[in-house]
Amino acid sequence: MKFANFESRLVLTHNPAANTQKVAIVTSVSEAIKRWQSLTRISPIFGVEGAQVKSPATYTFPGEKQIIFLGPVRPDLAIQQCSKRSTVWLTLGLFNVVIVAADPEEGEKLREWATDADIPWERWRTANGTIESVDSGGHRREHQSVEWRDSLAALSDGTYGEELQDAVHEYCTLMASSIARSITSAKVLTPDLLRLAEAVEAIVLKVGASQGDGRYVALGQMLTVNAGLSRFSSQTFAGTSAIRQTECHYWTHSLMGVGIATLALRNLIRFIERTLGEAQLPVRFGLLRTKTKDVPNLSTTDMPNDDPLGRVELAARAAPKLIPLLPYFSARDGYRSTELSISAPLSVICSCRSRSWSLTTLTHEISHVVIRAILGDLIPDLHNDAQLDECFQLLERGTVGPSVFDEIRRQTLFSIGMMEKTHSGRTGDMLITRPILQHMIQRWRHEVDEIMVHVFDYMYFYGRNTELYVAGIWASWGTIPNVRSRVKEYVTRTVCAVLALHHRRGGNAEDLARVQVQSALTRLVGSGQGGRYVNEAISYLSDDWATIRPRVAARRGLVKIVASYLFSETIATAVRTESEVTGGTGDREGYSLKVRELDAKAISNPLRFTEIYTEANEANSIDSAWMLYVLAFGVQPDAN
Amino acid sequence: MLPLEYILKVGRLLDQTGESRPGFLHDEKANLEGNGSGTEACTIPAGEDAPEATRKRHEKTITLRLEYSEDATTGDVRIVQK
Repeated sequence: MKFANFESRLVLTHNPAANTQKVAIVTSVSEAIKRWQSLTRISPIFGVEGAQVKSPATYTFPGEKQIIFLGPVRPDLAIQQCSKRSTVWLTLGLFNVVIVAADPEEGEKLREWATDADIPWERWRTANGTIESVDSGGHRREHQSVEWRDSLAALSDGTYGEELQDAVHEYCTLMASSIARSITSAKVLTPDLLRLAEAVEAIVLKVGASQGDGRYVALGQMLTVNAGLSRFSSQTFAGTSAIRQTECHYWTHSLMGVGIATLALRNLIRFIERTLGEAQLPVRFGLLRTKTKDVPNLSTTDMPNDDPLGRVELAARAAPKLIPLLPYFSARDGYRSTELSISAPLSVICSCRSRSWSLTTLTHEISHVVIRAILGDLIPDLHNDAQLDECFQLLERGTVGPSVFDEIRRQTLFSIGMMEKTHSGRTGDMLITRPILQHMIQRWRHEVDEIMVHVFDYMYFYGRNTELYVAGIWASWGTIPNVRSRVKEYVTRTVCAVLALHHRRGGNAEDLARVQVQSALTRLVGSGQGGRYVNEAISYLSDDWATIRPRVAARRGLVKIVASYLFSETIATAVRTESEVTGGTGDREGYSLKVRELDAKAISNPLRFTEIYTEANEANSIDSAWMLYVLAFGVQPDAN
Repeated sequence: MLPLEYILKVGRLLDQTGESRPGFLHDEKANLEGNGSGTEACTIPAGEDAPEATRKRHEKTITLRLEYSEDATTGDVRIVQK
């Protein structure tokens, strides 16, 4: 059974004169637009082949029909319940299977099956496409906590000052809606939302959150959560019961929403949270404060290569609970992460099998989540005199830091100093006061973050494979409009990442990294991939190396910190291992999944699967739908 | 993906350091241009927008001299504070 070779449109229109609604399947968006009215909604719909059911590209639902929407459910399980006279399609909404029952008895049989299997369903009885009656059933309401209502109600009753008050109210209603809808339509999402709600409550109720600067920190986080929740909720729960009363703001998917895409994104992120996240790198890094014996002076000795972070003992009780990232899609935010959320571009939904819109680009954003947490420790509270003094004294003493953590902090400050010197063109001494130190840190924090993220991403997620890394990041950069002025910056970052392979090779390390990057970029151009800015990048490396080289050299210290103190081979192995391969390598590295086929083969590493099956130069929405289906339904159940 | 403690730290970090881009000369916070003489110095302008602390001229000042040093045996290049 597989996706058929067509993508049509399921269209719901409203007849104002008769106050009725009608459903039809047409072949194109333009066909729907020609008859568009104020309440019209539309979504892509895909055919199925090889399943002994009918699946036409156009359909007017003639005569009396029962249309059953089911999901989220593996398509093969639902189709097994159908006869050869049934008509079936697939969507990208949480109601991902649409069946026109062969007869009323079959319709009833499908409803019973869905109810017994605890799969949400909605049934439309239609006459020549006009909806005459609707019934539905959601998940069984068993063992469901209702405390969330009391918590959100209490939160909304609080007093927070004018800046925060409205944001909190918006949040409480958004979260209440999301939790309530997940309980009915996608219970797998409910625990994630409840954990996020606990974290947001703690943010709002934290001492100082309503006063002084604390208000604005809390406000920034609330606005982030609200923006994410608003999109998450609309995208995921549009097209769930009652379908006709929902509407997705992603208008080409306004009828059924994109809940399957949300599940796919969510499963990918959860896998990374289970492997990299559970390794608790920021907590381990913080514990380097306790390493005060035999602290290496990193100005006079090599950085260690014996996995110092992996050897930090993390007692089980010391491992705090992780708050899951809220996944959503956004054309404006694109690939973006915050401490609470992660987004992918909307284009991923119809193009994720192409390199330009690959889901693997999310690893860069995940890396930001980890690195920012580490920087949250490494970089002092700039409004806290005692913490700033600690940093200042590290420079004033001129000797090794009192702990491994402090020594790494000292080296980070050195790197910031070197970057400042290089970019300002100064040579010689710098006179530093506490305010100057504060401003240097503020000025360079973002760049420190980006360099460390690039190295982290390269080592953990790309397995130090330069070809793969360069192809991945330059293909995704090629889709960003208006960044031509930043190409030199991107070149610097790419070379810094690859420098992780060469940083122990003396003064030529930067040149070795440059040659490797040049070669990878040139091969990209030769293969017709890489995006808009690759030729420019090659020119910069060739013509402007005299300018770029000292900038890379100034960042070398940061590269070394990540390669030596933040990279653990054991943790990286967990991120890259796939246990469901059938042996051998072949051209899919052991995966037996075939594109567009809807079989029940499981995968344990959705990141590896995405990497292997992202290969197309051109976007194809049916192939992308297949990839999203595998990620939504194929990841091992016990892993979720 | 993070524990609550780190979510709070990152919130503070991003609020204090934002997403500003480094190296922009029109950064109004502190002008770190050298004075062009033999010993280059980081100075802070005494203008209206200068940080309040700059007006406290008793602020402690250290001379930070950073150089690269290559280990002849291992090839490691390190930043050294002279």
